Amino acid sequence: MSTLTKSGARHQYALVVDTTRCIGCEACSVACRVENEVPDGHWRSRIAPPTSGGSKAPLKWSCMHCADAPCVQVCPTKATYRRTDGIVVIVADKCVGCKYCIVACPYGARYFDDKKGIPDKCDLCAGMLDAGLKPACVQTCVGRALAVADLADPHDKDAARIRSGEARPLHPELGTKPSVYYVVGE
Amino acid sequence: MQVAAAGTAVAALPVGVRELAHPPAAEAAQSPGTDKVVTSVCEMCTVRCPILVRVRDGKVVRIQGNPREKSTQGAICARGNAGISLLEDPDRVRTPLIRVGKRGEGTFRKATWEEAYRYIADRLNVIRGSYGPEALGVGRRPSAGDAFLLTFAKAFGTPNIFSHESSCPLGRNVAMEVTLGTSGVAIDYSKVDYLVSFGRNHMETLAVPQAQGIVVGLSRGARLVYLDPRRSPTSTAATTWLQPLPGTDLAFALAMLQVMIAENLYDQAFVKRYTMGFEQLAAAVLTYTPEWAATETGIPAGTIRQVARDFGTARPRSVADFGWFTSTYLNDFQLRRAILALNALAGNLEVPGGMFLLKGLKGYGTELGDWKKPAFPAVKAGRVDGAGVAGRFPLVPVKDGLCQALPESVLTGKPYPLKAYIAHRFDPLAAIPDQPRTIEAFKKLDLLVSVDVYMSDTGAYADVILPECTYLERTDPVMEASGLAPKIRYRQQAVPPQGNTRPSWQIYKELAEATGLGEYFAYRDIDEIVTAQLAPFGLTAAKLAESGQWTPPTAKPTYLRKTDPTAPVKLKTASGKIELYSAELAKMGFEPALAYTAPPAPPEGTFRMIQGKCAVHTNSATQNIPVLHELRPSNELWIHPVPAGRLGIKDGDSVIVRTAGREQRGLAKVTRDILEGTVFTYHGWGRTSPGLTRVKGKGIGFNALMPVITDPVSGSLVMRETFVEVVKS
Ligand code: SF4
Ligand code: SF4
Ligand code: SF4
Repeated sequence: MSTLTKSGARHQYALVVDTTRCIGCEACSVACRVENEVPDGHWRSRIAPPTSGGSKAPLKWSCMHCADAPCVQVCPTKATYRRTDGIVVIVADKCVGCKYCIVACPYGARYFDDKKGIPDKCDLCAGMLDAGLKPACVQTCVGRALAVADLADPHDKDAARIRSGEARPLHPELGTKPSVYYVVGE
Repeated sequence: MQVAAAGTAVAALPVGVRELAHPPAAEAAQSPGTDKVVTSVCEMCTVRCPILVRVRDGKVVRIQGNPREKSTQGAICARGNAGISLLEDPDRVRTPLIRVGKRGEGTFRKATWEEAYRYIADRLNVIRGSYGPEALGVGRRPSAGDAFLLTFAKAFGTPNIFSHESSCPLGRNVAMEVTLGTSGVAIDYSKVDYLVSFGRNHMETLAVPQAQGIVVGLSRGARLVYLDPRRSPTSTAATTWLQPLPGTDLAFALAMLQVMIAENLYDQAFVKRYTMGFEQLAAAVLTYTPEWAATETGIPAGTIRQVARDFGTARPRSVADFGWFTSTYLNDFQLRRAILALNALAGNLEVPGGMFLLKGLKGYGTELGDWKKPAFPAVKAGRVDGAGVAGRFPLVPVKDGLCQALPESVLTGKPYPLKAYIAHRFDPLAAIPDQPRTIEAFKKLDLLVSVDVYMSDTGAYADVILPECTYLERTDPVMEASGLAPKIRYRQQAVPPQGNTRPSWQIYKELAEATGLGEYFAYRDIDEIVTAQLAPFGLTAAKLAESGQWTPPTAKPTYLRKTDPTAPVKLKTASGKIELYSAELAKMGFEPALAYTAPPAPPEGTFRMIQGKCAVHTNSATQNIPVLHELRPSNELWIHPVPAGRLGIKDGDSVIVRTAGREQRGLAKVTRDILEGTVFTYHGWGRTSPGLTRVKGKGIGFNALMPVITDPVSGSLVMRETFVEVVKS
């Protein structure tokens, strides 16, 4: 597995969602559900449709991989923690199933997986990223609206969209410093 | 990086996933210890996107788009991703069933294939003896496996072959045949600079290559003008969304033509060389000014004029979309002709950013081979629906016919009654409006057979249900998927058929043998057919399977007029040109140029009801599939707040929708995203079969409300000329 960028820096992952290219088709929702064997009735990723008066574009909604993550703060066993590459993960062995994290998450990203006996959520398809592959949702995206950016890579053009402010987090006022960034049209 | 995290991550990595990133070679598929990756073709809708199927321990674990296909780049839609959910659905019929209860009760006993074949064959032979072979009708949703049912029907000797097309795109197909000589015309949307879409809701009808092409175009600054009385995801994507009164798109198109001609915004050289009937067209649209169209459509004249000017200025990279679902209004055929005239004035034929003829294998001198069979018996009887017959529906292709003729023939005996019907992957109750009448017809049939993966609504009325396996469990004949260059695609089996299900190549072969028609199916298995198909190309199935698709090495993507705007383009119309005026139509007594007829207005207190597709379902076929059902389990009646307020209907209230003695119940969605006089619902709900345990009884059945109205020109169903009452329940 590769944990470092070409120049030797640690990866710093973020997800860029270009809402101007998203058609709201939910291909990503189903790809994620199948790839990650998400149990019936739950989703790691969904699309919030545009509403009159609300958002003008569909919004892909999943774990925001917050840098100041409430889920990490409340976890009594450190089962939930943020990897150095920015991905917030849950270590099944350490999890006692208290569900504090589900309540703490302001983005409603977590569900309880009865089969695994632990809370679960988007892990940015960490296994696939580590293997040099794209996450399932990114791979299948019909509008080519999704990209994993590596903020540690100065040449990454998706990271440039974050640095320039073109891609911005959703509800930054929650103060959790999310790692999912949205490009929104006029 | 912490070891714990690394461990977790690696454990989560599905074996063999790396093969998926790089399109699989035969070795990857064989190497032990990794997932097998099988190239194939999706069948969750009719588009047939190329896919990679990942198989572990004999189970499909994931389906993804084949990244070798440039037009999809590895994308597939929600339905394509949900193929596994269909495969594993406990609701699938997994053994042949023979009816024991009353028709429609859905009570069956399990049977062996031999019993089921015998049952059908005995009855078919009796029917043929008493009424002749024409008493059998067969209907299907066109698919790669069409050849088997069609061979069976032709060997039996019946002319009564139907497809679902008359409930969907038949109108546009016929208009294109008349005007361009073929419906085999396509658009590379990514190259179009200015697209006008008359209600073609690309983001929800969702053919992945087309939707992606439009997004690519828009992101490089192309414009999309979209007409729809409802705000759909395509309205959201469009640069301009216009809300015309339903059924008045034709007025908009005619006015665009008028402006382009009056202001000299059309390609004169093109019109002269490649079209006929321009004078008649110009005369026909003379009075259809934007000011006139404004009163019809409710869209300001200035907007219409601007769109016409922008369209004319952007030519030849401006396209008016010919649409797909066209079973709408009585003036729809004229609308399609007007749209084709817009493209002709833009001179966009066979140039990048315009419309192009499909470059099929035939044009390169080789066609797919076939299995050998004797000549079919001569058909003595005429068709029940008059397709292809002068004085009835001369323009309707006989491979499609009019699916709505089924109840008519059975119940009126005119011209003669069908006595047996085989429905393959096709649910007449979901496709043909006026369900009570179709049910009445079913009850009078001597034999009704449903070949399907589920017990469809029609299946519940069938005498026999033959469970076909899904596309993931079977190999199909190689299919042509040509575009700018010829191309073939190969759907190959990824896993063995579950339970006692079988592929259609086997079902119709064995049924034919039981019926005494075995000589027409003298192949051993599907591999033998595929080998025969590929023989003319010197290609093996194994080679084709490597990437799942193949283009003759000498063939290059071709736009005939890309470099030479005067290059010859052979069109198969009588004149060899684009027929803006059609002598053929004149001879048949139909409008040969263009003329406007206004759609009827809703009588006081009623609404026009329109329907559309959502992105996660295909027609009525996928609503019961677990994952897709979870995404969108039901539909609602969209109604504007003003009439809703008048009727005391609040968002989420239960409502009854009524017309002419028929009614459906559902929930109201009160929204400004629909015009005041119109109500909308997504299509495909209102299912009644007890075999569809999740979706049965949910939502509003649009077809259940509509009567059968047929367009006399194209034979297409007309499903938006009926008005409904809405009341709070
Ligand atoms: S979105 Fe929720 S689950 Fe994800 S990191 Fe933030 S707080 Fe944790
Ligand atoms: S990154 Fe993976 S887990 Fe997260 S939403 Fe996408 S597919 Fe699901
Ligand atoms: S697959 Fe892509 S285009 Fe479709 S909803 Fe998801 S993010 Fe949007």
